[in-house]
Amino acid sequence: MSPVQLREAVEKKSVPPLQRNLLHYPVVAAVLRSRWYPGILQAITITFFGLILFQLLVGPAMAHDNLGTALTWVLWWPMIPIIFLFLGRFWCTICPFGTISDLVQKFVGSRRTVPKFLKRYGIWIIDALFILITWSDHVWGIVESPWGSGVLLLLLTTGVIVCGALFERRTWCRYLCFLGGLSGNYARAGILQLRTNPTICATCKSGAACYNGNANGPGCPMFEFPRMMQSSARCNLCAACIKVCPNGSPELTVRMPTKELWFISKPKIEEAFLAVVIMGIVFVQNITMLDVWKSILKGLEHLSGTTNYAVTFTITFVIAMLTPILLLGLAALTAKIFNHASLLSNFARFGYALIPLDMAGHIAHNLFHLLAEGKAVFFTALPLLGKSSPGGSTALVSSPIIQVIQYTLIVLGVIASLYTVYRIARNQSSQQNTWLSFAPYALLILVLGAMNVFLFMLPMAMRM
Amino acid sequence: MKHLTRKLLGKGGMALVVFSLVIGFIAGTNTIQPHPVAKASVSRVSNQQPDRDQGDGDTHGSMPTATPLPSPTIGSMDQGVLPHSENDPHQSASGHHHMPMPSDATQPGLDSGHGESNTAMGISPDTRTRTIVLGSFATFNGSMLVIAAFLKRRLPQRKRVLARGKTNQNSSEKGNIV
Repeated sequence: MSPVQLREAVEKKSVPPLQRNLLHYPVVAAVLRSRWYPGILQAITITFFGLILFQLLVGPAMAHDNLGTALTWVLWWPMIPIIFLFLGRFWCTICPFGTISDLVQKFVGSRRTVPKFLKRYGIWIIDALFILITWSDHVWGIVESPWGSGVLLLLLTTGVIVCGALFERRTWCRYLCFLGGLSGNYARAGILQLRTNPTICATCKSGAACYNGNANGPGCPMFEFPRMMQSSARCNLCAACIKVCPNGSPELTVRMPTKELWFISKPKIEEAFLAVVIMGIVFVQNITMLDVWKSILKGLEHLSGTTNYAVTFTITFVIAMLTPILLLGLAALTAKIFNHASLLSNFARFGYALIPLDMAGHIAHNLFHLLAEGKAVFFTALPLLGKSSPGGSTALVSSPIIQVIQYTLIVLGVIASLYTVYRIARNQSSQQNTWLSFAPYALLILVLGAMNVFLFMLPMAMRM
Repeated sequence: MKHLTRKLLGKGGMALVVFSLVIGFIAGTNTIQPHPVAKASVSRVSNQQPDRDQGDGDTHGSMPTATPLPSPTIGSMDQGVLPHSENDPHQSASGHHHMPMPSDATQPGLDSGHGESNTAMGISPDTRTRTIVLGSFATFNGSMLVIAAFLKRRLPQRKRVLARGKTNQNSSEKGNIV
């Protein structure tokens, strides 16, 4: 029995099941250490990606007849936040864009060092791209237009090819992917974490194989040094470090959701900003799918004196983005009185506490599309197989059930955010100031939670 | 000279990439017809109107096609006037309905239920535009790959070893964080 196996056997007996290293389970270890992982999954997703792209670009012109639209916006997009919650950034490992980047890099990549500006402003670029794509969707109707969705995917593919051809590792995924910020934030709140064993790493003589790679494979594609990694925000669970570590140091464990958010040592304003902006985006997505949106639009047209949708929507968009930012700013300003930290520090540190509510709102919104339009995937796939669509309702479950799930999710999100705020406040402040620091953010979370519940009470339109 | 060429290709290439992405984005998005009034108000919300039951026994349809239209190719997929049962899964707690309105692409000009006529407001570009956009993407990405292959060939041997993605354990690079 090798030392690694011996250690695994000892730990397996002494550690409670939930805290146990999942790599001690033979099936998990075999899958993650297999040379077919993640390649075989990447092959599947890239095949579907090809089908989706083909459907979007040359398939049926109307969204509700198009399998590409159904697979992208009814199945994949709603599933994404759920995957992030349960499996962290696992999706990024099998994402077709990542695979394209890997392939391009393998054949023609010159693997240059990532430019400094990307390293410095990467997350801001991601934030900006996420906002731009959301804005574009509303103004040009990308989701509802298969061609628009296809062009978006082609643009992203172009960016991926450029990055894969010029730069090392997964530069696109780490510094530019519009989903990267979202996935990073959500993965922090997720239940899976991969960390290394500091005791083992302290005596490591492999020459940082987890970063540099060795004969067994390449190092971390996400520019992370697993030995120093304290966050799941950029871990794709690609198992590269597991394969190359000669000491069996990496450990995959289940943790309490949101736990990582309680102990963020270096909070970043750009990550907190994205967390707040996502709240605004969820509001926008909800509002524009409501009946009341028509009257809001009329009011805005009257106010702005133009019927240009780009203008009126942009006004709404900016207001929706600014509302949570200003509210968090106000809470940070109030908390500053009690915890004596700066406004920016308060904003950045406590901004992370909104991530659970973001996630809940995001999942709740998308769950409507998944559950109320889920059958659209089958309906649009059948004509491709030469069969006629049976038609009828596309719902998987009834609306009342969806609403109950949505409210439950929002309540869970509020509780998780409140607890996160409490833990952050407790770590940051003295005993007597904890509750005083907690109070303004708690109020903010309750207000945002109530706004979410109100929006989910109203009937929503569909994507397809 | 070699150094200069590489440098120019590097920075110029990046500038070209950024420029092309911007142009591509503008060209690509311009081929999608902008929604003149409100994408959401027209296509996301009003498409639900004909089938929304307010619970008062009346239908409150506002779609132009007030009468049922035959839909020979889609079969049971209607134009938004399909009667619904009592336990319709699309009926929300407030009595509203969220029934999708599939289109009939074989009937030009027929209202799809999305508030958009298939001919009046084409959401798909014509063949020429489609060819130009797809051709541009293919040309650009193809050129990018060729340039990248050229750049890779010109990399010095040491970097090419690193570019294979694995550290050469026997080389002096061993143990260095790249």
